Formats: sequence, C-alpha cells, structure tokens
Amino acid sequence: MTSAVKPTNVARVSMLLRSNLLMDSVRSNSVDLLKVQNQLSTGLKIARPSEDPGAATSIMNLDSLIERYKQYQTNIGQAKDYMDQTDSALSQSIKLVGNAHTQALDALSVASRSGGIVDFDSYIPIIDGIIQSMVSQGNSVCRGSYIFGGQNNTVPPFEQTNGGVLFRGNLSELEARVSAETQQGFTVNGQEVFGALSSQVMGIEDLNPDITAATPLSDLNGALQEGIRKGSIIVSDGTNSVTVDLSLCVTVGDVINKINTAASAATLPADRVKVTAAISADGTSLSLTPTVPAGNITVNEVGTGYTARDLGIHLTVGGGAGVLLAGQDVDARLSLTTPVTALHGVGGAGIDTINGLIITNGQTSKTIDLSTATTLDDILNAINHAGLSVRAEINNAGTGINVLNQLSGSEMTIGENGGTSATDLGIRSLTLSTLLADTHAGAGLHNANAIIRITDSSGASANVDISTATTMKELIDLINNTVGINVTAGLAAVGNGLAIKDDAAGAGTLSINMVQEDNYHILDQLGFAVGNRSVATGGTLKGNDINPIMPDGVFSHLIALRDALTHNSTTEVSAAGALLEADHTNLIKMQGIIGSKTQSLTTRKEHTEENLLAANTLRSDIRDVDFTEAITRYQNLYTALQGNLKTGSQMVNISLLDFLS
Amino acid sequence: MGLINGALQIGKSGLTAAQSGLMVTGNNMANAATPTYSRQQMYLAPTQYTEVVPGKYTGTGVKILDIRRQVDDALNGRIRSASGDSASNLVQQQALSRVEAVFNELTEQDISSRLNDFFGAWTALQGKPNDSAQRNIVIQQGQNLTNFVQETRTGIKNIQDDLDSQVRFQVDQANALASQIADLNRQIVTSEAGRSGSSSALRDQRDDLLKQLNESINITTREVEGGSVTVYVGSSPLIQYSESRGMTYVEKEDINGAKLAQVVFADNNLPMELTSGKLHGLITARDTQVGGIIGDIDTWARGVISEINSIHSLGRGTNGYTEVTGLNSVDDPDAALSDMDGTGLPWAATNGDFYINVKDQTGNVSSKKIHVDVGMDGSDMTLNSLVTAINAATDPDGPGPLTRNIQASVDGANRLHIEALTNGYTFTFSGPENQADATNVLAVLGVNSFFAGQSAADFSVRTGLTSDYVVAGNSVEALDGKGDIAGRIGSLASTGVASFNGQSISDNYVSRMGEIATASKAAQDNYTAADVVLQTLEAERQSISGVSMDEEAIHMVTYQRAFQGSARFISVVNQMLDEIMALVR
Repeated sequence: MTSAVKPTNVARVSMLLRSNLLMDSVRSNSVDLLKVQNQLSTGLKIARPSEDPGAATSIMNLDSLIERYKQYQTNIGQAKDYMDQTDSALSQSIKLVGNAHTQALDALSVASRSGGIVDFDSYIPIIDGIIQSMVSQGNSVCRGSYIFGGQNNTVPPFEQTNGGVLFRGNLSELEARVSAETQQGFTVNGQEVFGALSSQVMGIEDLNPDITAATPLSDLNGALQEGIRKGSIIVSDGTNSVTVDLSLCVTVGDVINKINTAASAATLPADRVKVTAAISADGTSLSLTPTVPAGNITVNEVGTGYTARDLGIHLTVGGGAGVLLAGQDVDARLSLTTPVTALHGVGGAGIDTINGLIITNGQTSKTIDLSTATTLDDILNAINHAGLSVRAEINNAGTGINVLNQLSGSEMTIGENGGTSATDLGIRSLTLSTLLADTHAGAGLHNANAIIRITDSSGASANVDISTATTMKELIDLINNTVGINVTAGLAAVGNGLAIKDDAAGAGTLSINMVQEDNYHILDQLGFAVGNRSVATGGTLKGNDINPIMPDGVFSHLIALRDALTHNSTTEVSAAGALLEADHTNLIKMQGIIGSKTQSLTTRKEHTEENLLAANTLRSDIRDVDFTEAITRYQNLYTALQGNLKTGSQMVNISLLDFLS
Repeated sequence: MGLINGALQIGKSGLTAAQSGLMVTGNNMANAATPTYSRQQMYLAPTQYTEVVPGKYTGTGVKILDIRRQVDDALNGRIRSASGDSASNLVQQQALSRVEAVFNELTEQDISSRLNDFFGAWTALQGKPNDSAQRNIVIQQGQNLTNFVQETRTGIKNIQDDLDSQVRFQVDQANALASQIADLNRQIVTSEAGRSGSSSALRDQRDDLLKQLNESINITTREVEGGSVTVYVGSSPLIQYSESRGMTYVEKEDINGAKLAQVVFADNNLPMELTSGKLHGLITARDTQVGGIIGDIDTWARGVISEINSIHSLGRGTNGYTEVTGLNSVDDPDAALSDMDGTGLPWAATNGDFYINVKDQTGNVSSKKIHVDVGMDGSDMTLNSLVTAINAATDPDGPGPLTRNIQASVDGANRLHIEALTNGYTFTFSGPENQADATNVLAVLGVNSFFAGQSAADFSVRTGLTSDYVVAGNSVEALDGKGDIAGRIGSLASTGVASFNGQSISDNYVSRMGEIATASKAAQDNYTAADVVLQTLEAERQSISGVSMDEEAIHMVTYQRAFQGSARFISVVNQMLDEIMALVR
C-alpha cells in the first residue's frame, strides 16, 4: 500500500486539498485493488518483469531451463525408440543366427547318419533365406534412419552384392543431447553387431609426416607427447629478449611468423632480438638461427607454461655464440591435407607414388594409381573410390592408414604394383614382418614339422625345413639360405604373396613339393595351390597372399556356411557352425549391452523428469500467486476503499454553510 | 455638523469594507475549485483618528489596507521544480512500460520463448540430422525468432520515434509558453505600475504558466523590480522581461544512427541544459533508455548472428554449393578482415583454418585447407588475399587427381564469391577437427551462414536457405547422419560464448531483460517518489493558498454582520440628523 501514503502535515485544510487527497487515495486504492484482482484472475504474481526484476529473470531462466529439459526428454524418447528398434532387430537376428546354427548341426547329424553320403543342397536355400533376412534386419529403420548405418544412415547399410554382403555404414555413433553436459550415443554400429568390417588394423607403421607451415598445432603430438599447450615463450639472443604470445597461433607457420615478427618488432635495430625461426631441414622440428655471429639463443617458458617444451625449443642455457637451436621432434600426426611429400613413409624414404598398388577384393582387382596424389586425402580418395568395397582412413592415433574390407564373405589383399607404394604406406596385407601365426585370418600357418622340397631349373633340389620360421622374413631367409639350390624367395613384386624366383637358368622347371605326408596342407597354406607348384626356367613361382583380410562377422560366417554346404564339406560346415555359435553368443551379449544402454536412458529420463518437476515447482513458487495472501490483501484493500469512500463522502459533503440559515 | 458628517463617513467606510470583504469572500468561494487559484485575503485597518473634543480622539472608520493573494513564492518555486521532476519521471516510466509491453516477456509470445524453441529445434536436429522435416523446422523456428526480434525492435523504434515527435511537440509548446510568459511580464509591469503585487489575476496566470513551462523544462525564476520574472534554463536566461529567446530543435544522429531532435535556443542554436521536466524525461527516455535498449538488442542480435554463423558456416548440409556469394560487403577488399573500421563490418575475422571440400561428379571429395592469418606476421588476411589463397589452394590447373575446379572472386559489391567451374562439381565448407583452430571468416563474410543481417533491424534467416543447405554436421565425407554442428548450435542455449564474454546467448538475453525490467521499475519508483514530493508540496500550497469554505462562510457572516452594523449605524446617524433637522422646524 505504498502509494497510499499521503502528506498530512498541514496547518489548514482547504476544500481542494480535501478533495484532492480523497481523489488520490481512492485512485491508489483502486490501482492496488486492480493489481490484486489481476493476480487473482491470472493466478500469476508477476505480470510484467518490472514488477519484480529479480524474480522475472529467475522465471525467464527457469523457462529456458524447462524448455531444455523438455527437449532432453524428447531426445531421450527418440534415442529410446532407436534402442527399442535395435533391440527388436537384435532379437530377430539372434533367432536367425540360432536357426542357422541349428541348420548346420542338423546337416552334420544327417550326414553322420547317412553313412558318408553327403548332400547338403536342401539346406542352401534355407541359409540363403537366413542371409537375406539378416540383411533386412541389418537394414532396420527407425524414424526414417537406418539404425545400423551410424552417421551414414540415409542409405541401407547392408547390400547383398558380388556374392558377399557389403557394409556401407559408418562406425560413428549418432548422439543426442540428454542433459546440459552429456551427449549420449544411441546407436550401435553394424561392426559391433554384425562384424561387418574387417577388424584388422593394417597400417601399423608410423608414416611420420614432416611439419609444414600449414600443419595445425593440434596435429602435433609435441616434444613431450602432450600436444601443444599454447601460451607465451621468451626468446633471447643473449643480449635482447622478447616475450612472444603464441596463444592464438593455429599452425606451425603462425608460430614462426609470430616469433619472427616479435623478434624484429623493436624500433631500434639494436634492441631487436636477432633470431630467425624456421622449420628444420629434416622437417621434424622447429629451429632458431642467430642472425648475428654473437647470438646465443635461449628460449624460456613464461611462468609455469609448457609451450616452449611442447614445441621442442626450450633451452635455458644457450649453446654458445652463433649456435643454431635445433628443436626436438614435434611428432606431427597425419591429416587429410598432409602433403604426400611430407610423408616419410615406412622406409623413411618417402612414398613411391609412381608405381601405385594393387588391391584385390574377392573377384575384383584394381591398380590404384597414386601418380597424381598430392595429399593424403588424394591417396585415400584413390583407394576409396576404386569400386573395391574397401575403405581407407587415417588411424585414430594419426600415425598411419587403415584399409578396411567392407564386403563380408570376400577376401581382400593389398600388394605392390612393381614398386614400394603399399609398403611405404604401411598397408601391404602380407609383409616381411607378418607373423606366420597371424596368417589365414588368424588360423595361422601350421609349419610344425614342415619341410618343403624345392627343385630349381637345373635339377638341383634341397629340403627346406621351415618349421622354425615365425615371420615371413624368417621363412624367406630360410629358403634363400638353403645351400644347393639357386632360387631367390621374397614377397611378390606385383600383387602379394610368397614368390620364389628361379635363378638357375637350367633346362628344367622350378618346382616345389611337400616332403612329409603328415603335413600335406603346407603348400596350400603357403599359397601354392595344386597346379601352381612348378614354373618354367627363369620363372617365378607366385603363391597367393596368405594373409587376406575378411570381415570376421555374422555375414562372413553365414556365407562360409552356405559355401561349405555348397562344397558338401562337413569339416567346413562344422567350422562355420562353431563360428555361428560364437556369433549367437555375441549377439546375445550385444542385446545385453543395448538393454543396459536403454536402462541408462530410462534412468536419465526419470532424472530429467525430476529436474523438470523441480524447475516447474521453483517457477511456480516464484511466479504463481499465493491465493490466501492475495485474497487477504484484496479484503484489506477493499475495506480501506470502503472507509475511504465513506469518510471522504461525508467530509466533502459537510460545510459550515449547512448550518447558516 | 462635522461630527455627523464624520459619523456618516465612518459608516460609509464600514459599508465599503464589509462590501469589499464580501466580494473577496465571494470571489474566494467562487474559485474554491480553481486549482491554480490562490485565495485572497483582505487586510483592514482603522483610519486616522480625529479630535472630537480638544485632547480627545476617536477613529474615523475603517480602511482597506490590502487585498492580497495568499502565496508562498519559495514554495511555488519548489513545486515547480518538483513538478518538473515528476513530469520527467512520469514520461520515462511510461516509455519504459511501453517497452516492456513490446517485449511482452513472461508470456508465451516473447523472444525468450522463441529462442528456446529455436535452440530446441537444433538440439532435435542433432538426433535426426538427415530429417528434412526437422531441417525445415529449424528454418521455421529461425524465422519465428528473427521475425519476433525484428518486430520487437520495430516496436521499440516506434516508441523512440513517438518520443521524438513528443519532444518536437513539447518544444513548440514550451516555446509558446515562454512567449506568453514574456507577454504577461509586460502586462504585469504595466498594470502594477509600481504597485507591486497588485495584479493578482495576472500573477496567478503567470504562476500557472511558469508551472506549466517548468513541467516541460527545468527553469529557475527570479522576480525583478517592476514585477517581471527572469526565467533561466540552467545558467542561460530564456525570458528577460518581455523577450523570450525562443526554443527550437535541430536534427542529430544518435548511437544507432537515428535522426533525433535536439533542443536548442532559437537565437543561437546552442543546446539547452535540460535536467528535469517533461522534455528532459522524453529525451532521457528516447536517447538513454529506449535508445540504449535498441542498441542493446542490436548488440545481442549481432552476437547471435556471429555465434551461430561461426558454427554453421563451417559445416555442410545435404547438398553442396555450385556457387555461393557472401552476404556481407566489405568497404575495402584490401582492408584486413580483422579491422572492423576497414571492412565496415561489425565483426572481426579471427586467426584459424577452414576447409573447402570439392566433390566431383563421381563422388571424390578433395579438401583444401585455407589458413586465415590474423595477428601473426603483421599483415592480416584481406578479402583479396583470401580470394588469392582459395584460388591457390584450388588451382584448376594444379596437380592432383581431382580438378580443383572452383574459383573465388570478389564481386562488384565487394563480397566473396565462389563458384564451381565445371558442371557437376559441388563444394562444401568444413572446420578443423579441433574447434579452437577454426576461423570465423566465413561467418564474417556471410558465406554458408544461417542468419543474415548485422543488427536486430535486419536480423533474418538467410534468404534462399533451404533445408538442403541447413548445416547439421561438420563432415567432409558427406555423411548426412552427422549432427555435431546441430548439437553445438543447440547447446549454445546454455554454453557461454565469446561474443557475450562467456555468458550464453539465453543468459545474456535474460540479463538484458533484467536490466530493462530494473530500469522500468526504477522509473516507476522514481516517479512515485517524485509524485509524493509534489503532492506534499501541493498539499502545503493548498494549505496556504487554497480556499476553505468554512473559513469563507465565517468571513461571510462576519462581513455581513459588519455590513449590518454599519448600515444600522448610518440609520442611527440619520435619525440623529432628523432630530436635529426637527429642531430647525
């Protein structure tokens, strides 16, 4: 009732004063009454922000918080839909894989009962049907998006093609914001569920790119392997020093420009820091060169910074007059824009871009031409767009390239095209360092007690005991070191696989044979199939790549089962059946993971609901009117108005004139 | 005879006095409801004594000493200044409550609700980035937001324009008042002709005009000899005797570039020092308050445009561009893009990288990194050097398996233009993986942006932005399912941004609203306080100058009785004369 305060400290009351006061008090009473009436009719304590600015800003903040919570709930709901759809697709898949496994067992049991007469033809359509159903489960859709496609969810992630199943999806998860701080992934990718990509990481070698002016600082691991923590450094030439703020630098070029600009910033030449920064000649580090003979360079951190150390140029005691400060290796990571010329390659001598490489996936073989590639991006493009259903990408550590096979049921090999391109890029499928135990999709080369016999074209022959070899290099060395035959073993110069060249120049043929019957698979295992075990003089016996890459998942195993049934091979059926059993277990495990993810979303949803309720309650406390209080106030104001009107009307009405006759 | 004659004179003076008294009382009663009226009071005194017998004296009647207005000039001065303050505060309060009404906050139809919906749409897009319906919702919510911001700004601008026209009107009115006061000065001096204070009505009239003038502008007055008042505004005289210097206005540009009236003396166009009064209130409301709010909402819109475009410009929609032209022209294509004075743009480019990804007909994508150098080697990137850098990186004749078939140029309006030279080639933009390495140069130039405009006045969703070009992800691989950019924009609702010194877009808006609400409340409180002061003073004035009917009734009875007494006395004297005349018979 603040506005009802009226001045009364007067000595004389005039008619106008009385009526004005009455008018004012009736007016302010009415205004107050209107406000309370408005509060009662709207249920809101505050109609305009200016009535209580503090409360109004709280309400507005709460409003936006409430809106966000509602949005989080919608997002969680959507994510849950995805999860539910995923769960249902998984249930179906489990049934299908279980069925395939049962069919395999059934086929084996029928075979065992039929006394060695094996005819699995009737099972093939069943397995084909299962494969088709699995593909359609893999292409399950939720809200218009393919749930197993990752971020590439506008096209069906699985397609039956070239006798295999091609995975077109992407492994990145879709994320939804479920709280102010958290984004939750709500998809599982085709790789996790179906093992749709070859899991083998091929590019294990560090390609060790040079730094260039354009290399982003965020692509450097830094001399301490902690990245580059940007801050200021103090550069001194022994006489003058300058603090260089590198906090806004983005690239290596920025750092060099910043240092050089700061060094020459002083107006008087005498005050300048006589140092020039540049990228070192070997391209791995920064270097600072004194520009006067007496210059003795030091570089220090400012405060507790790490910038100079991360950049590999921290030097507290100068190396002496005129000595160049050669920085430490800042270890650049690969990026799409890394120039091919900046790549040191596995051998350290750069990348052979002239010859290119040969990639074979299943029946398709392509030569990848790298001659026009200028950046790593170009190399990846050349591989990815060759139509081979393979995908090349930079590995997570940024040290090398991974090439993945997207076609389940198909084997991929990567070899040379007469040069060293694949080796330089570190993506050759079979290399000298390949462990024999890892070959044949992890089944390994069974070279225990393995002795092979090589006969060169001059007719000379020798036994080679390869049982001690553990790597391809050791295997090759064992052949090359064998006395008595004139051959050179190595990896194929074109394509991939073990190659044995005849150097004897005799009249006969170069041939390879097994020695011990108990290891009659060894030649097959080395890649020399029947019919590929001899070659004319001067020729080269070329084995197949024994380390091809194939996705190791449900589709591969189903296809393997189908092929085994086609071959009527009980061994293969049994092997495929075992793999499918493992897949079955894996799928059940995945379903469990989905279940727990769904559970966490449910918990999140409940939590958000609680938050929403709390925010709504708080807003109501601030914004909504307390009806008891408002009604009481209304009553008070009404009484005051009544009193006002009554006394006012009487006082205004009465005058001495009434009593004069 | 002298005695009788003298007695008749006494009676006559009594009759005159009582009659006059009744007239004063009657006049007072007649003006009891005239707000500006100051009651008059008659002052009587006995006339000179005369010697009836030697050495003995008696009075000769009553004389009217004075009929005076009951006024306290000092109090009137205080009322004038209080009414000036009150008027100033009232105008400000009214203006700010109109502004509040335009913002319409705390309802469902306000900027903050639209802002929430806008960010909500982006957050939803993050989870379904390939959904073209959701992309359209984002555009729709963007339009809802920008339309409302524009409407709000227009609404506030209208208030400012209205205040400005009120200023112009008030100046004319005050000018007329000043002329009338100057005229009254002349009349009062002439009519009083040395009898100071005798022209009550004229003075009341002048007091009223001064009060009215004071409601318009802050004046101080000084009465000079002869009854005229000199009126000052600040330390400069406005009215001297019968001369008013006059006041008028000149056009002046405010901080937001609006042409507004500035109040000046008519004779020399020098600005008036306004400290209270309606004009002061109008000008304060127009320039400081409403003008400040317009500036505020412009700054906020600029920040929103910059923050959202900085993210949006470095990502791709479902389609690539075959050509694109920046929305923003620079004044000088050779000016550093970090120099806002040189470019004439409200944003400065920052140091960092962006990528142009060129896609050929078969789907090969080649990315080119463009480094924008700001503050590194002393020569910052300009629009021309940016064009050179893009063309160098995407040289159509250069090596590489992809023909880098795009070309950048500066168009006739000094805007960045990029186009694919070969049919079937498209290009997109993306940012570095490390967000801190990104430059905002594309946002500054208005390329691949979501919003267009440079203030709240032209804040809009980019014309021609279709769902295909709404950026949801920062993906060079053309993955429609990547929603990271949408997620980042959505989270701007609650994450701090550089444009607002670490405050989030919503928080910044709310705190600006809080300031407006506080200013509005302060204006209300100020008005209430000033009004209480004014009412107190008015009550005091009424207490001194107002007419009380009871008092006047008493006066009336008194004068009536005095009149009756005097008349009776004359009748007695008459009888006495008759008696004497009878002696003669």
